[in-house]
Amino acid sequence: MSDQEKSVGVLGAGTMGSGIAIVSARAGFKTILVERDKETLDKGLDLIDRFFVKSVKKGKMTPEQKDLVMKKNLIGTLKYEDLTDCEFVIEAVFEDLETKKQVFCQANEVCPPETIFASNTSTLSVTSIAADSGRPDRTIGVHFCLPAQVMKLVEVTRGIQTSDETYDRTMEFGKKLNQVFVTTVETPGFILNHFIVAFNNSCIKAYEEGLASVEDIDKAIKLGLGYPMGPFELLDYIGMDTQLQVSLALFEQVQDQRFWPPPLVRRMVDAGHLGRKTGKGFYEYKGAGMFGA
Amino acid sequence: MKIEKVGIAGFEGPGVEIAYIVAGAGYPVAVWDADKQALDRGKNAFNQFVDRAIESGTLEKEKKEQILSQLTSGADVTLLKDVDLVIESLSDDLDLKNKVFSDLSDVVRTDTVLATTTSCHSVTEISNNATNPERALGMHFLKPLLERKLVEVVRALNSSQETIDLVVDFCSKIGKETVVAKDSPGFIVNYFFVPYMNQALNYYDHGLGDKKGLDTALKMGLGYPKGPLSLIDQSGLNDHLHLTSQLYDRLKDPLFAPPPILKRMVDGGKLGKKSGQGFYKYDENS
Ligand SMILES: NC(=O)c1ccc[n+]([C@@H]2O[C@H](COP(=O)([O-])OP(=O)(O)OC[C@H]3O[C@@H](n4cnc5c(N)ncnc54)[C@H](O)[C@@H]3O)[C@@H](O)[C@H]2O)c1
Repeated sequence: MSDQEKSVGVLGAGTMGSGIAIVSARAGFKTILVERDKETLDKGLDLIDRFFVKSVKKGKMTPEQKDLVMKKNLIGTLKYEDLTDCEFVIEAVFEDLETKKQVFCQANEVCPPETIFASNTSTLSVTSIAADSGRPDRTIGVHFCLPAQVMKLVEVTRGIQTSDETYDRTMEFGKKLNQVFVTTVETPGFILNHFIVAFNNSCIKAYEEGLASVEDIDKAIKLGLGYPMGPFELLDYIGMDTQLQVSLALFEQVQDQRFWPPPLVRRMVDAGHLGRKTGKGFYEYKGAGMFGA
Repeated sequence: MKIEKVGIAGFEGPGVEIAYIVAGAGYPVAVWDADKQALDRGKNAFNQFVDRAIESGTLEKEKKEQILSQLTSGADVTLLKDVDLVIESLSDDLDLKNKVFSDLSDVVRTDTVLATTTSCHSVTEISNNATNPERALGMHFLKPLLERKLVEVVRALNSSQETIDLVVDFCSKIGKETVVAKDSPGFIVNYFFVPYMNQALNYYDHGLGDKKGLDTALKMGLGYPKGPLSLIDQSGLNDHLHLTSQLYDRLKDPLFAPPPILKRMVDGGKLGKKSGQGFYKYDENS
């Protein structure tokens, strides 16, 4: 947990933003976590704190290290002005082009020219976000995996205008974060969502058409292919609302049948069966909290 | 009736692994293969499995003689006449499987269960060559057989529930978990896996990712045991081409259409690890 010289800004303290802030603060970066309202910010900070409590319990860090990370490294704020010292600003706000453009414009006004803007978008075009960021050559895609605080992999995607220097500095930054940065081509869904969205939709469709039960499909995939989770267990983590939104976003861009959400997705969203977060998806759940330690 | 003695038809590739798994669980195993050379190769491979298991500590040294003594093998099909279950594990040729099911029926008891391990043909078609189709079904083992816990027990149209129950119970005795699958092309696992693999091959062919990036992303990002290109190198590009072509013939679903790059590589002799090169290069010792 060495002290890094530069600071990192994270925009949005939702699921991904909180996870990315954990990764950054844990790696020793002073981390500025920006939200739009106090309540959401406090909720995010509380989740992060509870995550580190678990880390201490599991012996992954000492209580002193936790204090250092929570009190010194991590700073929650509602003010974009606090981003002035950041070498990197990573946005993890809603998956909406206008919102993403707007937060980068705000950051652009306060950040020095050398600051790199990184978007955690899953389905939007990096080029399009970069174009309106005020610094298209210094904007890049860095797509963390859910749950970011546990998963090491990050997909790095250059937009058309992203400069070589920005790309090189981003790859260096990945090492300091202790993450594995893998370069992808700018294509809808990059690598992971391109595969997992299609795969999960194929499982939902087959279940809906009566090929086999949810339990049997999960069991077959886990034990037959050695995957860590069955598709339906995974979907309950992802959330059916997210599955719907990501499916539609990818389908719209490539018009490929594989991405089209099977009818059951909408029915489950309509019924509020979103997965773990609502206590019921393909399976039923009790209690919520952040994944991993 | 209980399954006490097991027969295996075909002593190459998966046949050897199945023989090892079944014998390892304490069953007497009779292996029939019409090809004498295949029998010799199979016996050698079987011995190697036993030795390697002892080396790696998964098998006690004292068990060696016992396991070897449980195995009988020969080129005469009457060797199988008093087994309770025959697991047919011949090369994946439909005509051959159909013929062997009918030949086996002439040899075995009327209540002997006949199971095919086919991954891409109709289990119902193969089963109906048996004199007693209600005693026939599919047992689809997943590769690598010693690692993957799953057997898909495939219910052919005429399989009786008693036969299904008997085989599900037998699988648990040999340390396998089961799902009972419909006899629809690809059953469960391959119905999802084959399109995924084809998608990865096309994605790579279209220049959307380099090998390492694609393999690393899917392995680390999704927690898969291997990335798609190193996985297909391991299992053999020609095997995947055969599987996806057969499934495509039956489904005519474009997701199963053989990717051009696959055909190209197989035509060019790049079959994966077994030929020394697939998407990656392998030296002989690795
Ligand atoms: N959830 C996933 O599985 C996943 C995985 C990888 C990437 N992503 C991407 O990460 C991003 C965030 O997703 P999420 O699931 O964390 O969403 P989320 O809804 O949990 O969090 C978004 C947060 O952004 C905040 N926000 C919105 N406008 C803001 C503003 N102007 N300033 C500051 N904060 C603002 C919201 O209050 C909210 O807390 C999206 O682009 C998404 O596509 C999500």
